[in-house]
Amino acid sequence: MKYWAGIDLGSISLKLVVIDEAGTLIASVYKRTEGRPLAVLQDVLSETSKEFPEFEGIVSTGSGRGLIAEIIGAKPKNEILTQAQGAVALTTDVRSIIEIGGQDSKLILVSRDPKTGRVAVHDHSLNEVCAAGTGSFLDQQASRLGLSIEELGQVAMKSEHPAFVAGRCAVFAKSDLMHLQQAGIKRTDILAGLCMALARNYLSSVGKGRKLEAPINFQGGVAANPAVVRAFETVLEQPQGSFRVPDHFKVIGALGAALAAQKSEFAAPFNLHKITAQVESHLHSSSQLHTGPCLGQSDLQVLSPPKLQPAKIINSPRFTKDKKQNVYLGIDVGAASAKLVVIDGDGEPLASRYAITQGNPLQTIRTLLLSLRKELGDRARVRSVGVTGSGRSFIGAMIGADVAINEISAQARAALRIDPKVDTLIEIGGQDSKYVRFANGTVVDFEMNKACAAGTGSFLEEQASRLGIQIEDEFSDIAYASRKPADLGTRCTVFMESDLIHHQQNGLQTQDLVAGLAYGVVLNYLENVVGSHPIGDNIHFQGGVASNGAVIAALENQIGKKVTVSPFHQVTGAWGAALYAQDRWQETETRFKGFDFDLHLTDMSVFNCQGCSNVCRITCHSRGDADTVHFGGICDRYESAGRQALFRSTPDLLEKRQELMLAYAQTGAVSEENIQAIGMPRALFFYDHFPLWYTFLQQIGFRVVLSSASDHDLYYRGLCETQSDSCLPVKMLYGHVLDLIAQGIETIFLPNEIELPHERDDLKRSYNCPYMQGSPYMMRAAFTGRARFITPDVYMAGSRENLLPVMVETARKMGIPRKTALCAAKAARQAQEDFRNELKKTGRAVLKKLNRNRTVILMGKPHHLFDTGQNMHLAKKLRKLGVTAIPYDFLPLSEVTLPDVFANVVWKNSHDLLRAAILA
Amino acid sequence: MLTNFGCGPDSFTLQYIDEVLAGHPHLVVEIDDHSSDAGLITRLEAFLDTLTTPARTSLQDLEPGLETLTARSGPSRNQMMPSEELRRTLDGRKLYFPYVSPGMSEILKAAIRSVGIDVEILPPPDGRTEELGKKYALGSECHPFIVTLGDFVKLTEQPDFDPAKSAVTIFNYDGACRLSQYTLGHKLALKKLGYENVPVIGPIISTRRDEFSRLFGLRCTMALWKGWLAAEVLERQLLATRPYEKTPGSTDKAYLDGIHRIAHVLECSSEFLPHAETKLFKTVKAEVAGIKAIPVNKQNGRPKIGILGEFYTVLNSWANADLFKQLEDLGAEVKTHGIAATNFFLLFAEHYHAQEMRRKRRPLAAAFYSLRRHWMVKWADALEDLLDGSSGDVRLLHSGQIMQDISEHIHSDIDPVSTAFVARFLDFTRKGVAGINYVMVLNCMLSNMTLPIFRRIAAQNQNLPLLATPYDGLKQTNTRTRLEAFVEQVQGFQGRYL
Repeated sequence: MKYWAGIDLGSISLKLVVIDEAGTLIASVYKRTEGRPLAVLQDVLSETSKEFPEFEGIVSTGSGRGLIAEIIGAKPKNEILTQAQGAVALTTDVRSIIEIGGQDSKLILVSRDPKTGRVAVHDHSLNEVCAAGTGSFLDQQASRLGLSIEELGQVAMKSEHPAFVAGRCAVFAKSDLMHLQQAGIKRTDILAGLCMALARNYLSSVGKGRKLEAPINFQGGVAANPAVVRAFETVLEQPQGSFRVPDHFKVIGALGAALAAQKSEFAAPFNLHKITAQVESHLHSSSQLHTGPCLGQSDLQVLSPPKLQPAKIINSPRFTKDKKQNVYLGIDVGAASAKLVVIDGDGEPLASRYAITQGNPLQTIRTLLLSLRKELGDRARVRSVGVTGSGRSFIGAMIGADVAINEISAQARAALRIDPKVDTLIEIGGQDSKYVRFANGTVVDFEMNKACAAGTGSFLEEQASRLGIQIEDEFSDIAYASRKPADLGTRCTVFMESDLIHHQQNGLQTQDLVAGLAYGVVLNYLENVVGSHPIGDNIHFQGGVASNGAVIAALENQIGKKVTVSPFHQVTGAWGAALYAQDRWQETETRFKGFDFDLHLTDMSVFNCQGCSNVCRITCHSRGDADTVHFGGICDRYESAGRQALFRSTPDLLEKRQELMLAYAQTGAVSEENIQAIGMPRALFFYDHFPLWYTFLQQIGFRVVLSSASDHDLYYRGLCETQSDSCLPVKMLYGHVLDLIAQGIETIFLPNEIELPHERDDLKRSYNCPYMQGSPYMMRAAFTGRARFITPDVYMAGSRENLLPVMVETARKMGIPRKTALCAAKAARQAQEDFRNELKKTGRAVLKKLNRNRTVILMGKPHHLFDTGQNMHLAKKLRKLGVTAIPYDFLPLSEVTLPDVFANVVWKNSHDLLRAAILA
Repeated sequence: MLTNFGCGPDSFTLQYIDEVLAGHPHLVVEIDDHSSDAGLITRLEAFLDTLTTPARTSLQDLEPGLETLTARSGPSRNQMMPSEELRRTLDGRKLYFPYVSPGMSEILKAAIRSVGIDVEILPPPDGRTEELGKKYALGSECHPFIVTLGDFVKLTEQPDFDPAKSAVTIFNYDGACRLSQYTLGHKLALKKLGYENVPVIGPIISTRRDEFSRLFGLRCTMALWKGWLAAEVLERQLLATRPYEKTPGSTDKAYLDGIHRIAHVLECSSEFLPHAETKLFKTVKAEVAGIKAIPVNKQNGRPKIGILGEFYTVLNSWANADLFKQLEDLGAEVKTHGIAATNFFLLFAEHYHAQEMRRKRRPLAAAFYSLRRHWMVKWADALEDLLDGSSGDVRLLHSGQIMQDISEHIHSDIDPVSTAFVARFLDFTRKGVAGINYVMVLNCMLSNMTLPIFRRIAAQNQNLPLLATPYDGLKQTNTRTRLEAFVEQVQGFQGRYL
């Protein structure tokens, strides 16, 4: 009997399939590589050789195909093709293949050739710059929750109300996960939410609006997860069970490779003992390989232990159990860990605690509090408690904190306490990293990581665990051994992870990768967080990552300056919170419920508030009737009396703007009978020119139907239609168009506003951005056959100004007489002018009564800033803090002439923002 | 200030606002499709904690160090030669231009030198360029900006760099894409590095204005045109020959030698114009013939793939990870708009210049632009007639045809670059390519705007294989996987439909 084999070496696993002469799969292996792809390959080949002494041919596939081909002489074949070939062999009628592996996700569309009957790939797509739609995403989240990937699927299937988890980026999802956990959402719902996020992300970043023709196969390691399969069916609005998970779904790529091997010609059969020996010899010789410079940044210096190693905290001699003492407690509930610090009246730490939360912050805090109590005994009297970190609201409410302070201010407060002359603070924690700049003992500037977690501690831990290395025990020593730190690229975790895999599969040495990781965190931090902000000379390094000597060395090498690491670097956030608690203590009784307070919740419920159209999802934690806390409300409804008063006394000018704008929909109502409906999406141009276009369309006799307000559902429905990675407001537009179609609207109005009116004639161009300009054509292409678009091309300024003729022409095409159109156009322009004047009038009135200390100007793009479905209710959040937010277009922008240097700034919105900034 | 991921205008506007508000408390918040409130509240609270009332920068403080030369300010005595203002600015300085491709850069150098300006092309970009660019950019600009910024910063690191004897230049634009902000963006970065005295020359070329000619002189523009079209024709012959060459490297060598000789003729052509033109034409003819004569093996026909997309990335083999050769290695023959993308855009823009002048009631200027365009088209036709067979089927597109072709898909006024892309895409479908590779830059507004339109056109053409590959300088390990599957798909399409 003759046999052929296919080997699929992916990013996290190795698959081997053996077929016989009939092409039947007779053996298969699936094994995780855990950072040792070649060693695993050797094991698998050695094991296989017991049953199969030789193969007629071997084809390798997957991201490691080249390496295998090089070592054992197999023929490499692209995994898109092997996946398709394997799938067709198992299920001949398949048309769409969703394959989700460790690092890569694929969508493969196959069709049957009408002439030959042969099935061929006719379109394919891979995840591009984001791994959120891949298996690693789920792996990471599962390990964060202390679950195996298999358990995750089983637990998630029990959920009836999946929580909402963002999926665009693995980092956002991680943050969401953490916040959901901290808000006490049920684990089953969080896990099901994760699966939904994966599905949505896959469909937007890989699917990109492609239509998936049935039958649809789901294959790759993730297909083992029934919750993900269900999530795909839900997101695509398909009946349950409509997706097929074929037999051998984990090894289909290897099967395709084996089938390809059978069709290929090989010079001689492969002796398994011989090729196993070849792999072994390659493993041993790889230390001699890769001695040349790394790709990209080849001048990364060798890491040496920093002169000042971070010291360990020792118990404070200032504290004695015998003496009664006033103390202040600070608690920092971060993404991955909880920190507690107790300080005395001089602000000096007496005791501290640090622990990983393992997804259960409440229980962790309780354990730490009990342990502190044991150390402090009965004589420490807690006067006040400060809480900080991303879980501060929830934990603060549960334990009875007196002060809740944001983590930037808390870290800064501790840094100033440690060294009043500090000028730069670098803080790298589990999920967040921060940069703070000081001048004369006050904070003058700060920055936090935004869309990227690469410059954070959890990244380091995840990558180290991929290499099987303990961060605390061995990471730095291994890094110091490197003579050529690897360049792992910068930016997103995923890219770095891809490079790590790439280097691993090329056999690069572990110590070089580890040193590369230390640099990776630093380079990402410097690029994404510090950016162009200056780094001073008196630099303090705080946060959990400051324990890592290799990272300190990498940081010092990169910035060319020495940094100071306090023994308390892990708990500085909690220390800062304790200092705030002390500052704000005014001889009042603390609300602290005590070290041994039972933090077990008796009840947790989630409900939709029906108070207004926002329908906030409120989480209610209860320990009995008298002890209930609420989270998740946008307004003041569930706030304390003091906060309610603050909220109500602060104006909401964003809401005011919305009211003024939508008031034009109320005027001149027409009968709804026998009038043709025209849809208007609440997106893009809507927030600039609603009064203009609404009035015009209404006056020429149309019933204008608006799409629903922007929200998550609308956005994610639209995301499945998006065909390119544009931006949030444009992706939202897809949702609005779908919403109008769902309302039965056949004709949609979407103007192409090329150039917008100038505030002042000091600049030549005043363009809309290309997405705004091109959106009508993008929608027309995406929704061909589903809606008709009316897309007038308008210049509202410059030598080509043509608003009036375009309005008349648009009306003519819809069969409206010129006279009616002209009247409507004039009324429309007047409406727009009136709206603009109203905004300025309101602005003047607000500016007169201005309290400069509690007022900010809100700047942004109208279609982002003024859309409550996109701005995360920014104005209401500021209201809760007692801050009046004035939208930039309430300001007298036309009074400002822009300096000549901005003569070639071409966008109208940029002009407005620059004028507003000058006015500020 | 609120912003969102991928916003083109904000990638520069935020930097300008930072400059205007220097020393004044301000907070930039990025809000995207993530739902968590905690990060937002933390930032807002920390921001409010920092609120004080420091002295703010006045506008007088803002301007020095940000001036750029983008347009000629007054009339010129000799329209053929560089403006007095440009000469004054460059007095005693060497002008540096970032490297793009052999055809584009060598010719540009020769054309500018031919009008007496000391210009040098910077070395091709590398990892260090990328690193420096990222370090001094905000990060959300597009990749070509980051690379060209890195080129300039790398220049300042050279031991013999003298800011008092240097100036830099890059084309500028006043359409709605990020390119319009390159000049000011580069200047801002140089200012931050302490080189505010290094002049940045950024002639605006758009549908409205041709400041390149007004700054560098008409003679330079004409030399550029002649040279770029010559290089373009040579490049098309290169692409039609290289995949089949018997001796690896022979076509590349002939091409590069040809470019050098064309550039030499351009640079030294101080003679009477028609005579210079004849000399150049003869040189191009000889070079095309030289590449045609390279021994080839054309027994195995290759499927043809059209490449189009963002100019810099298509032209620069480092920015596109040597895409052309990768596709050729995988068994394809490649066609592209190449340098012609730029030419093509300029040619198309010329059509607007005459219109604009007519609108402004300047008949003489309108007539001038019409004549100039006529001359350009004539020269292009003459050179393109040197090509035949596979190298001759992709030609410059004429304005009338472009307007007619694209009307169903996009409005021609949105952006001539997008219009040019759509027209070329349609042209490729007519010229029998078996697949199109759309080269994109991550977050490029024009690319993302046109991609849905391309998908629709591809679907209307028997599902013509279309691969969109984004490039942003990251070493993406799966690009090769995609290209392999794409070429296989293209081969399948060729077998079925062509």
